[in-house]
Amino acid sequence: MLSDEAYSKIINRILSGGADFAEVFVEERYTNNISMIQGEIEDSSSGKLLGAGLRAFKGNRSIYAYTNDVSFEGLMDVAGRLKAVVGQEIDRDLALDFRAGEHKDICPILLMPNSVSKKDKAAVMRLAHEGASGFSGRISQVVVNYFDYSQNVWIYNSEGVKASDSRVRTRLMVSAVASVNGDKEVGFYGPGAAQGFELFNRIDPRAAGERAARIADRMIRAEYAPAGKMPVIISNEFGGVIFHEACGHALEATSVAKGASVFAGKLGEKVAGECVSAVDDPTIPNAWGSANVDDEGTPTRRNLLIEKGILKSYMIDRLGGLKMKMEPTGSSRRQNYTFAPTSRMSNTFILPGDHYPEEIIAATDYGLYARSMGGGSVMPATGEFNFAVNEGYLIEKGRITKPVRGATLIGKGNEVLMKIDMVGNDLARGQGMCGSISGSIPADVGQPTLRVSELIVGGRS
Amino acid sequence: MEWKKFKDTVFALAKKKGFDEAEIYYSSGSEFQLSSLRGEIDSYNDATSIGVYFRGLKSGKIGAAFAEELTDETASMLVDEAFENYSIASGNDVYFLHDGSGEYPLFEGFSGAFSAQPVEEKIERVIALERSALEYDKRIIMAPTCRLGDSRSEVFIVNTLGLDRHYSSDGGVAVVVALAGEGNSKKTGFTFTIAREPGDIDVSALGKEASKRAIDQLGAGRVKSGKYRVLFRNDMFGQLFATFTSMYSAENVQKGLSIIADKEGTKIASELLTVYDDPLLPISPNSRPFDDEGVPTVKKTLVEKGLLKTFLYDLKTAAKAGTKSTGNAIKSSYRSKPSISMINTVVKPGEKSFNTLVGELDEGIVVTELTGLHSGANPISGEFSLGASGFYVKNGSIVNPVEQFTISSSILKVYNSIVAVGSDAMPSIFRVSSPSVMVSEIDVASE
Repeated sequence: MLSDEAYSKIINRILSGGADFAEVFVEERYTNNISMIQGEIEDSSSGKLLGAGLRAFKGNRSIYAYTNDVSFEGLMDVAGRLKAVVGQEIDRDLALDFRAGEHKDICPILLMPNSVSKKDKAAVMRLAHEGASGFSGRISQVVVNYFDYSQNVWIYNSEGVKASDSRVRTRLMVSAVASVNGDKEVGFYGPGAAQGFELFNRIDPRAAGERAARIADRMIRAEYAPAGKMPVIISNEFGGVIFHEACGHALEATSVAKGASVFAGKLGEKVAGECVSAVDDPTIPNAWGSANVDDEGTPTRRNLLIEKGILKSYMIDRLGGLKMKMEPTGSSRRQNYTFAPTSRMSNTFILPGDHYPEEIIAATDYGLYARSMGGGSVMPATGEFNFAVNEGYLIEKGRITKPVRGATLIGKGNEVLMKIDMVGNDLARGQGMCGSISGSIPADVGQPTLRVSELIVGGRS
Repeated sequence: MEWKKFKDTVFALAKKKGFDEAEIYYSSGSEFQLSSLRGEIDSYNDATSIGVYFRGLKSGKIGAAFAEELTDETASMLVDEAFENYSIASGNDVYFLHDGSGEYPLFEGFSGAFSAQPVEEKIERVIALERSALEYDKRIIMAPTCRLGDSRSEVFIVNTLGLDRHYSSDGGVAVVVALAGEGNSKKTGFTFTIAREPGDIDVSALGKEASKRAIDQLGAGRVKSGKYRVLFRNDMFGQLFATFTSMYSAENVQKGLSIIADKEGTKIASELLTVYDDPLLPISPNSRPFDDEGVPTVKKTLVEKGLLKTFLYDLKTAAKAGTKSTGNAIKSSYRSKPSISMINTVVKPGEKSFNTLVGELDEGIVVTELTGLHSGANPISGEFSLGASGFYVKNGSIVNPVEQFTISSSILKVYNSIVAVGSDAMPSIFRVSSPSVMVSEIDVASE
């Protein structure tokens, strides 16, 4: 890394073009990826990413450039390009007095990934493979992927911010295919955390494999889901993807600041049933989406998004804050230095309510129980979302009666929030990769078991 | 360090470490992107990057590593990491490197036209793109996305067997999303184009079309659940088709992950379906003269009048099947392992215009938007259940827009129930060029 003085010069060079704000983000990342198919290691690769992203604001305009050349000369050259875009020439050589913020490390690491041999990583994968392939005779194919990375970032800006953070992530992903008479169904489970190899002191790889296999094994024997409008009970943990897609994205400044969100201008208004409270919390120790500071160097904090149905806060980055005339919320994230940061979710979940999950099922005469959710997507401007049910069951007369497959849930985020009428007490979080304009980033989704009074279920019958 | 010296350093280290053979893939490139919001430049991105990917081969097994700088330290890191990766490789698969033999096609993928276009002109054009969307109709609220971008890349592949190749390519892209509103109804319309030269992007037409698509969806109603004849608009059929192209990969075939594994030479689709992979398609920025293992690319027919003609092979799967690589080993980024995929998929157009197809649909649904392709579709089983919107058609005419329904089927059912193919071929964002396609029956779920 360069000296504070060097970064000061780089930032001053950008400002001398008339920019209102300038920022340097330097990243170095070591990554390991291992892929095992049918118990054999098919691909193992590792390496180091190194680069820097420089950013300037002029009014509400953002100018971004990145490079792999992180030398002083390299960065000064890029700073010169940014300066030329802003296009003015002002005298500016005030040395910046950087102040590093104090923070305690919320994600302490016990076993750094690069201190663990690849053979040990492969051994964990083999356990997951065995858990899945041994689950039943119907499991025909098991793919286990493992990855870890150690990312170090340094952030300097023209307001004197100097921050650094180290983010370590480890994840195991199991896909199991069940086959019967040429018909195939896939089950998936992918636990991860902001932890090193100690993740596997907590997560049993064999159990992770079994869980993926269970989904495939159940679904291959399931009938197609019924179609039409009906009550849907969404199980805890990864079920929180409904909130993530249906609501979370539309609460990001990225869409709110443009006015391109169904929740724009709705602070203080009722947007959900009274049983719904939700947070985005990047400060949970060692959680998948946690960090000490965000990618603009702002310390992270817990943001209460919805309290008893009332919209309380958005997730705001620096540029979004400028446009919305609001303070940043420590929510600015990016996949890596090749992306300009923007407001993103971290660990986003609905808070627990009063009901036992069994109670919610018993109170439902007919509907779909979505036990494991797949991914989904949303158009924030209209709130329209869709997501896949990976493991579904039919509820008849207050009981889970049979597995059903192939269901998709569609709806509009603002409408579905109002239709949540029962919230369970079994909050849990699940891990996902969230894609948006600043790339693909680790994010936890979460919720207790909850019921949506009616949703359109896409199925076959 | 200079590239040539770096390469020699790495190869020497690889030999010393004990690899039989070694290969370096090196890419360098730049990207430029502008977006406009309310008549002003909202974001401006300018980037340069390099990436180097090393593969060492020993006794048929591979170890790989990557980095983003060319230094002595990097050279030894690449070889050491790759060797540790090699040491855990297992299984019966035998890998090969290509020796550079074969007929390399003439490739003219680089024009330099985008790099030569002044930034001021790019700024004017992206603002004009947004303006054309906004001015289309007073019900257009805004254009949440309005972007012009271009990129340039140069790829080198060199190995110890004598392969030494490189190519350059460039191209541009324009994307616009328009948001329309009336009463309680809000709808977005999306258009996209890829281009080899700035002149190929008609910003005015693109902006208007995005807005028209949004306006046409306003006040959308619902359809009743049931089975319908469905006409997929060109870009939507392209997206649906692209979601399932992994079944043509010989890797998936050999691993039992393809639903057409045992169907080579047999009928898998209506005779109206003919599909090519054309790696030299002039319009596509994805075109290339050789794949990421250095094997020359070639145009090939995958499906001819419904008959499955061939799978796609890389070096490893070809050797296993006793055939030749089709030149389809493609990296998704410089640091990923090459894996088999289409380069430019072309669904062969028919003779009928889109309007003729709507007439022939008689009663049914035109699908103009699909959502959930990454989550509601299973490329292994071929099953899908996707969110959709479009238009309800009766007596051969569009009656009203419809929203919030799902379509469910399996891709082979779709292949076999194709009843008409349009003449309106259109390249989609998924590297597929497809016309509009009509399918006799699909399950639709809504109210």
